[in-house]
Amino acid sequence: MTTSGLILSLLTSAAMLALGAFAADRPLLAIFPAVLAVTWLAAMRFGWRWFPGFGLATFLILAAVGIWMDLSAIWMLAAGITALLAWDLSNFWFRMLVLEDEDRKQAERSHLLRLGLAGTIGAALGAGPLLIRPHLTFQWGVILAIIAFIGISFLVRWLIHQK
Amino acid sequence: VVEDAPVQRVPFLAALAYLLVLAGLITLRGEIIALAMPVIVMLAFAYLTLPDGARLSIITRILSAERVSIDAPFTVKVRVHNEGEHLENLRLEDQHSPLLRVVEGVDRRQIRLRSGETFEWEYKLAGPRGYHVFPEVKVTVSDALGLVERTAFIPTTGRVFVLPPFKRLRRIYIRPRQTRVYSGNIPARQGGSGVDFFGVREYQPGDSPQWINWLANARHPDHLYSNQYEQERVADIGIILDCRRLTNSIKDRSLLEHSITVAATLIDAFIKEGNRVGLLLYGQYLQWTVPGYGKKQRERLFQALAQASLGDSQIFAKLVYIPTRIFPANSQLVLISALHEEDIDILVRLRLLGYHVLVISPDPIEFEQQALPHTPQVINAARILRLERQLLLQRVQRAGIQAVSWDLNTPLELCLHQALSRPPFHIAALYREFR
Repeated sequence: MTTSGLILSLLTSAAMLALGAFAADRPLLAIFPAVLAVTWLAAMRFGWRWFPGFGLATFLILAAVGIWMDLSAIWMLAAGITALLAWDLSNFWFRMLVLEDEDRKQAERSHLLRLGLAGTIGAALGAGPLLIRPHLTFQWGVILAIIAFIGISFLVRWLIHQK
Repeated sequence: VVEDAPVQRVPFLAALAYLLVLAGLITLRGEIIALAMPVIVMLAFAYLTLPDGARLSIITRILSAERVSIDAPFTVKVRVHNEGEHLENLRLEDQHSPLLRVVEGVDRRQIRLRSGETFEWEYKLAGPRGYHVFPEVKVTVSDALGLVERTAFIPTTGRVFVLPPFKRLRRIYIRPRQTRVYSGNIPARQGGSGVDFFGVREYQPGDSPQWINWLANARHPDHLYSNQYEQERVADIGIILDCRRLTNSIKDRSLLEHSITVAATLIDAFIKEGNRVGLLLYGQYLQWTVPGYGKKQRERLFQALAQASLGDSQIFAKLVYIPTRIFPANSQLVLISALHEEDIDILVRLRLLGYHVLVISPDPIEFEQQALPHTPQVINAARILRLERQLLLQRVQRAGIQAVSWDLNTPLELCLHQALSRPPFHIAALYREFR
């Protein structure tokens, strides 16, 4: 189930980026996500545990570049979310290797459920601003940056001290 | 499989979120900031679903046996009770010696444990000789997505001795100079009731008529003479196991396991005959198990043997530091060692101090040759070394020390039976002469 979910989300992510590129008449840009997705799958096969992180960062950067190049923001957001899901499933897949079948099935079921929930909320919160399209001035940008900086810093500090 | 480091995922996700927000602000594109939202949601999800703390107050481990033989499987049962809040992702890893291997089931579980619920699982382990402890259970709780983990090591009890193998021997003939007062199987060098003929003395009231020596009476009709038999008693026996790397280690292989098998076999045989046996492990340091009798002592000695390991100490590189004072005077000493040339002087010194010394030496040449190809060079080298070893053993025997070389191709019980089940040749010859 995890493997299927991982392959599906990876292919979806690559397809979204490719579709965005095709929609903007830049088919050459579709090659990068396709290659990345195939390499990611190969990395899973060879047990390169560092690759999912690299893959996620690359997918998100590609999506951000795509938005900057005026490709469809919805496609790019969808690509970013599915890449995030693929990253999480990759890590989960590695964790599952050490478990026995009984535990694996139960953990898979509940993890996929929770991941789906987190993905849906993320998609909703990400798609909201895209539909409303608020105008971002410099002042609002600075305020938002400060809030984001403080908020994420507190969150990260709290999370990494949970030993 | 190498464990992942989940805590690194949080800074990674946060860095990505920062990067996207920053990129959105620089380019003044809200869509890029929106791209950061799923990442931030994932971090928030971890924050909200991470349990405050696990209260797993009751963790018990039950072992099916506290002493097993080598590679014999034993069952480990772990029981966990959750007295705290509901734990969605709970990973339990039973910590045990890396030498033990799991032969059935798994030693780690990933479960969901509701409040007040008890979870129990069991698995089977097997392993090599040794003393293996189970110090703790590693408990890890994580958030719903496994981004953040809290780990604790909960101390538990549990230990298992994997005892060395041994062979059953019927009798070992030893003849120390001094024995103890209790009756046993070892000739005490004193006349009295026994089995073996000891001498003739004048008849004394109370002597059994069966003991009367009629031949002596025929020669001296004025007096009555009766036979005396040698008393048989228990003895003090000190077993010295040589654990030095110098004599045991040959490249990456060790002769120690063979020496331990010899020690265990002798301990079993001596204790069975009612002797008082002590054990000195001479290697990294001196580990002395005080002498004693009976099954409890046998267990103590076997446990000490289970913990024996090779030692590299510079101080104990030679046998010169064998503490002779811990062995009763004139008692029997048994040294189990592959023997080094420099050990001869120490053995002679022990003999001069009045101890009756028996050396049992697993053959290191045979042991080394087993791992080498059968080329003419190896065979010739082995022959030369065998001659040297033969000379070494002859020097030992000339000092009045009984020496037994164990060719590892011969079964141990056969070797010991041939060498130790009857009196040595010179003693047997004396008996014949005396009769």
